Amino acid sequence: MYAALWKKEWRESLPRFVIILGLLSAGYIGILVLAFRGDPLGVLIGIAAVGLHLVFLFLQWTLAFHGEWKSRTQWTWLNIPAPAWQLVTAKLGVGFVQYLLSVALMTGVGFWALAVYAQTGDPMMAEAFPLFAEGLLALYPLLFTMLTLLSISLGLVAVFILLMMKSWLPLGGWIGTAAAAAAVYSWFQFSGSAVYASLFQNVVLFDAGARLELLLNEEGVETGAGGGLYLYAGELTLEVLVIAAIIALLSWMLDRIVQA
Amino acid sequence: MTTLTLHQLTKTYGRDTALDAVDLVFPASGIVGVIGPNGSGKSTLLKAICGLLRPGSGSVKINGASAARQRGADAAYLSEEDSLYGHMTIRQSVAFAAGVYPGFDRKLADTLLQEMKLESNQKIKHLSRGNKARVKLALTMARKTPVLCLDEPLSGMDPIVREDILRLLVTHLDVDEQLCLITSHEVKELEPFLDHVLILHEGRVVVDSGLDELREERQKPLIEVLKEVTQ
Repeated sequence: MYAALWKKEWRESLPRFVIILGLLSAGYIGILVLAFRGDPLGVLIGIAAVGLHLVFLFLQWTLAFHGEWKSRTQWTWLNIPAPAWQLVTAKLGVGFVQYLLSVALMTGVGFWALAVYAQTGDPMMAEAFPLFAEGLLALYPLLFTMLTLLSISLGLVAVFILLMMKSWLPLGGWIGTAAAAAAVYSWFQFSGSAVYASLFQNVVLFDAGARLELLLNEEGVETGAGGGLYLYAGELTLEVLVIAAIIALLSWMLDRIVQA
Repeated sequence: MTTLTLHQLTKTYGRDTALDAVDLVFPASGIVGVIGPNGSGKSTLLKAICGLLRPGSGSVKINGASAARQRGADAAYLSEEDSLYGHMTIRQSVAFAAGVYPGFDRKLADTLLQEMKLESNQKIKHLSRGNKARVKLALTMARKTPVLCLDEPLSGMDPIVREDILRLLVTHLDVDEQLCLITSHEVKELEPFLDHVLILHEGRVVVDSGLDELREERQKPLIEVLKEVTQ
């Protein structure tokens, strides 16, 4: 049953994914053309592409769930006797796989463009871009994790609000937005607290600050005390657990309160 | 045998009451016509039975268990709307149904689609409304659920399609094992196929009777009874 749901979600979302990839690819071609010309404007387009990936899951997941109601197939979808977690995670999973493929393409093109910039003949670019590329490579695990967690968070909040809209008319959307805003605010308060730091900021998986400092020192750039940019196992575990809890909440909503 | 019971089932949309404290015990099997004027609560009743709407109060029990969304193996819902996935071909729709509905009778689905003379590589979105209705019915019937809720399957169809749909229904429904609830405004066409009748008016059940008993009691066609009790 689960495989059939994944297949259906993949097929259904493929045209959307192809359009997004098409738009991104046009941007990537632009970046490479600008890189060959030595025009730094390509870097700005690259930053915009990263920004698009921040809302990638928001777009894909919202459209996947909303699409059932828009195309009037919610009668079919909700009448499937699968556990709600399968209905929910098939949509989320397909969107996430597409996100990973898109990030992989962006990463490849990004590093290729940086290599091209370094070879344009401009002495400043020849010096700056290899360092920039090495810095990005050194920080990549942290940047990828942060981008992915932010993208997932935005996407899950959007799906929560959408399902609230389908649960209680006409105020469900507003109640969902208020509840999501309160939850995000509380999360930021908690994650900045000393209790959070003592409980979850332990077991360093990745020390980005140290790696960056090492890199800069190798290049002969003097730096102050490094550190401060860590990826903690405790923090990551908590975030994965929170994501799992939100998915469980969405599944519960689909079974108990969402109306076709 | 299937037991389907409603206890004080109430559903409101804002200030409008769609179902008003409905108490019902359905027959164990056969075809039940759920008829009534627009807005009488027919569709709401079927959706509540399939767990697709949350009742305001009261309960729906199928074989003793509360109706719920995930109990689609007990109660299949056929929507009046184009609820098939347009991006799929007919063949893919059958494969999808076989993948997600336990007990889906693929052979029956194929037989029904062959009888309808539909090409399985046609995309759903390119089918006529009548053919979409036929495919929907074939897929719903092949689910072989104890309860079938067919919401306006004849709505907007030409007489040939209506006849075809009713023929398929009576030919392939297991009238001894399955309970089929069917809503329709085509009362005259539907009447010959019914075993039992429910007439809803303003969210209340005003007639709940076997068709033969109703005919004997009222001595008039169903459409006349409907007019009489809903005026």
